[in-house]
Amino acid sequence: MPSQLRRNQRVPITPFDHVPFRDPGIPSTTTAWGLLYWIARNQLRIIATGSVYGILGTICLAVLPGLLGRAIQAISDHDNAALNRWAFTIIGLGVVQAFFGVMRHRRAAGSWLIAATRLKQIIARKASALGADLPRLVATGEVVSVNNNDVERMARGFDNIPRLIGAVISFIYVSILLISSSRSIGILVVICVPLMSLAIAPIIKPLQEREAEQRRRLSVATNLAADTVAGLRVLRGIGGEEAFIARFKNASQEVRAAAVLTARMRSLLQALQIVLPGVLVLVVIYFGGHLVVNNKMDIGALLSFYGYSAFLVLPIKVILETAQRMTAAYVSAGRVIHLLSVQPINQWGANEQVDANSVLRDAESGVEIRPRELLVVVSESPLIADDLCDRLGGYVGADDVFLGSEPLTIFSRSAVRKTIFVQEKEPSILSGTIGSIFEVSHSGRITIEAAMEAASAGDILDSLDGEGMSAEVVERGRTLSGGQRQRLALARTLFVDAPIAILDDPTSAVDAHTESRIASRLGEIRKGMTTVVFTNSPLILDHADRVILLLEGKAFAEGTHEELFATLEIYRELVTRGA
Amino acid sequence: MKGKLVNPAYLPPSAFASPPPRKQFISKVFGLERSSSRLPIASIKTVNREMFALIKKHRTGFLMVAVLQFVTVVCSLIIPREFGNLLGQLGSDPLHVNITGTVEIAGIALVVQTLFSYWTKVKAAVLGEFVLSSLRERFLERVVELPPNVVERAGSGELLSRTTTDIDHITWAVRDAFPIITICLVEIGSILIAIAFTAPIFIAVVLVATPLIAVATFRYLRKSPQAYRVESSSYALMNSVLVESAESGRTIEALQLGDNRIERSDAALGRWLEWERYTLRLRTEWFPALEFSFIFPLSVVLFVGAHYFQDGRITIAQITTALLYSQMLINPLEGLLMWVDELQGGKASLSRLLGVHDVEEREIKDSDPLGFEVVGKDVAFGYKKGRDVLKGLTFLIEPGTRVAIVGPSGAGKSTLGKLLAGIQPPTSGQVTIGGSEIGFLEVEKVRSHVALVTQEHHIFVGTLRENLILARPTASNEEVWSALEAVDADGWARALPEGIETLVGTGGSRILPPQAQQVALARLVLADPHTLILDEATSLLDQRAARHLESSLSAVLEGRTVIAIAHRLQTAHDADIIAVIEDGLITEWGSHDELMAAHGPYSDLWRSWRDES
Repeated sequence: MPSQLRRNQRVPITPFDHVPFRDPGIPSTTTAWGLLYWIARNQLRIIATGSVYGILGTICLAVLPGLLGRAIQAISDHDNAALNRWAFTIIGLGVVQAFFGVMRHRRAAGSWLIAATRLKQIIARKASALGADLPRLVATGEVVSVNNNDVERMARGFDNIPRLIGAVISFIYVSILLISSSRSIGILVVICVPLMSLAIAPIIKPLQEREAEQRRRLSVATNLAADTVAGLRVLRGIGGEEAFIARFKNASQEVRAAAVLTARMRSLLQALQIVLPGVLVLVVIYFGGHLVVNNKMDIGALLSFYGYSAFLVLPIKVILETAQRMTAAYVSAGRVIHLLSVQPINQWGANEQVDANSVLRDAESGVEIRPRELLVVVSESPLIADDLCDRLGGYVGADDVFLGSEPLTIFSRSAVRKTIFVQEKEPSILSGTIGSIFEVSHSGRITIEAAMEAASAGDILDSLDGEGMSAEVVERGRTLSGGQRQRLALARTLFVDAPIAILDDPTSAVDAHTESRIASRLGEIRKGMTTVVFTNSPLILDHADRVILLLEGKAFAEGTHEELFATLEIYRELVTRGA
Repeated sequence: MKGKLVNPAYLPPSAFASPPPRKQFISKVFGLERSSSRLPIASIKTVNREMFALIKKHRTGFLMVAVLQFVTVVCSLIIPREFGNLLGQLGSDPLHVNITGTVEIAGIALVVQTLFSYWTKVKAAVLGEFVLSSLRERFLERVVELPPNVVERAGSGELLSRTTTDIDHITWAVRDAFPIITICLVEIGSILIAIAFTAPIFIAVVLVATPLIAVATFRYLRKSPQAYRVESSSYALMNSVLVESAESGRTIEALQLGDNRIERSDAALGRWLEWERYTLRLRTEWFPALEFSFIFPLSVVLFVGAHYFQDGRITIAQITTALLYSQMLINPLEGLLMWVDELQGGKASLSRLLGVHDVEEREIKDSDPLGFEVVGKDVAFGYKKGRDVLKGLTFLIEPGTRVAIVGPSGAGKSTLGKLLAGIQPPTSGQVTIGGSEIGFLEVEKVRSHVALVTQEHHIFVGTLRENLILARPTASNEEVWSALEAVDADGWARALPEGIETLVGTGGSRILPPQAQQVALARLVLADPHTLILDEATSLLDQRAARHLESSLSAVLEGRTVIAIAHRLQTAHDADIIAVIEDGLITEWGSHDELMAAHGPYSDLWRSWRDES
């Protein structure tokens, strides 16, 4: 249904219309505060305008008790004109307040969305930059949890800033108002409020510790659930669901126990937030009442005082809340920095000039790959073969691999990737359409059809309900069989047509007929290019220009398939199929 | 410039569409019910029903919270009332006021209020956490029962996102929203009653803004639930892009797709932001109406109060108290509406969690298998209508036979394996073990008869021992070790830092893929069913190791029926019966020697595999 993809003609004007960014920038990753500061500095405007609205909105609330007091005084004085004036002012205040309120909310939402977007974009770029190193260095669950929970917590740190500034300003405003109308009570209130905040402060740290413990247990439970989901297919075949459910329930109950402990602490905090301002209000009533009795204050003013002292609870709440959020943001910023400072395994150089027609040599094993040959490496251990593949592609230990006389690390990473293409043992098929599998940089020498033909993958298109290249492939190609995935990946590799292609057991999941077809077409389609295949399959060995036998990680012998087969007992054992 | 940032070309074909323009409803087309490729999402009706059922189930708890909160509110109402009275007396008779008495009463009320508030909040949290834990446990229980094809189509990212993000969202919705809404409702009710006691006329006055609130809220709630649902789905989409980038880093780097991944992730982010914009727009229309409705009644109280005061029908004390009460209404009212709003997000997540319960249940036709023979009668199976992968297979496998299934890639061998293991019933025909249709038995019962190990391997977080005893939690250490020996894995297992008690899986000691395959087979040995299906279960081991493993395994599995799917024809050579499957049909059936003599497809395949042709 193409209409679904029709662009939305009417995008509302929001404070975050300009995100996602084209370039999210390069953050400072030295300290957690530094990162938070960097984010804040980059969205200073929205934080500032949000704060202005926050201040204005809070001031509206702050003046309300005063207006109510005047109005009551007017009623008491039977002054109708004054009453009308104050009552309509209150209505007007309501309208203005509503406007400022929603504007502040929009800025706050924008502020956290902009911060979250920027961080998510930076993380996506980091993931992309790490590429093959990412799964080796960081667990997927960790990346996801930083990208969701920590980014959210950092971003939430910003959406409170407008309220905080509003709260501080309104506190100052009300203080001045109070002191100017009654010095003694005013000073009392102004001194007591910060003292009360300080009295509550000691609870915040243990509360945060309990919250951290709760989060830690929650992440244990979540990881367990995620692990169960990931291993669902295994469980389905052999059972054990009950055991996993039991483990999860255990973890879940631990979360519950921790959460209840946290709740007790939080309830205590909330109770203090009731009782401390309550005492202040009582004190105001007591002294204010006496002032009225002694004719030093009128009734309206007392009502205003009552309202103000009740109002001052708000700034305290906001300040405490901000303190909590900023601490959480600080902790999360640390975790984000940790991810952003992961260093790649290899240090690459800047040399872009790669001569693909030189010998590729692995110093550790002594394996040498000559230009334009079809080399097959036979190994007694698939694990050792995998390691050698990784090294030849420069994924690990690239300074011990030489192209011509230069170690791989003097070249730029992209130059190496363009020249040497390694198809790993279990290559990924990324989600998208079948066609999108071939949306990769390629030499242009080979057509998709030719690549599919050589990989003997043509029949896969037929099995897709006539949708052909536009058929959707789900995550990791799971709806395709292992053999289909492997052949599609091979077709993709052939289509890329890199000067040096290294294939790790590319026919392990296909039947002998298909394997034989692939083997016979491989030499033709790779003509003039360097190809290395790691396999013990005699079908492919038949077509090799040269064969290297790898024993205990070293090149033990080399020659043609026939030569090695005739002379080496161990080689015969490794490549002979069947009894 | 706007909109260009979301290039639909970088979104997966099944991604959600942009939000609709103003005044239009989000219709079903917007990807909510596209369940063919996604896990279902529960309907709003189901969610409401489930929420109601939850409340009903815990009604004593909710009632308790409500009663405690009632006491709290009553106490909190005493202070303004006392203050109002004091103000009235100060106005009329300033010389005979009892300020100390007022403060004492208010002080006692404050203490009681504080204590009850603490008690209420703790009770509410205990209740909320209980509801939450049972919700997440039930979800996972259901997840492990889901039919595998449903999970495969949805992708693990989708399920993962439900198990992580959605449970997270529900956490605060359930923990906070339910109790706070209860608390707010009680508070509003109590304040209204208090206002009625102060002066009944003010009830009408305070409610003057109700129509405005009702209309604005109704308009908002008509659109927001669906919008929030798509918003959280688009968030999940964003996650799956990242999960894929993280898991497939090697392929992405090799293909130099780094920039493409960035564009994809930006596009998914952009789509999510479009929905965030849409929901913000909804809130922008809703919030101001609410905020105004909170302050507006105050001035009406003043006008009406002044009118009645002039007639002497009301005192300053009453007006003051009513004014303070109306102001006290703002907090719970705001709280109520905000939490109703927050609940929308929670409900969106809840509908995704409850969605798993909407997946069609496996049909169960219970019976007890008599005997061990495996029989197929006209077995046909297709993942899509009209496209059968298996096209009518009939066979009989005697107990204790070792069968090898061979044939070209894509011929339907793995599908047959799944049918034999009872993971799915065939679309037509029957697969029976001991006369019972295996695809319709209770899962536990199936397991006691037949088990399946595929080339997919997974090491769970836990000790190696825990990983092995999945199917038989009572297995002794000796049994575990002999299972490891049977799969040639005792060597490396002994070399682990703490033997079988070593922590493995994510974050633990690394288990290499071939070793993981051995673990999978050792599990099978411990599970010890009479029929075993091995789908390329040794494909990651090298040829010699695989062969050695297979022979030591077959010694342990003596007398069991073993059905092995393999490309390594060595396995076929060693089997009693070989079934050749080509294009969904059994084309050959017999022993290695028989089939070699027949010079049919198998002998071709064998010679080709041996490189003899």
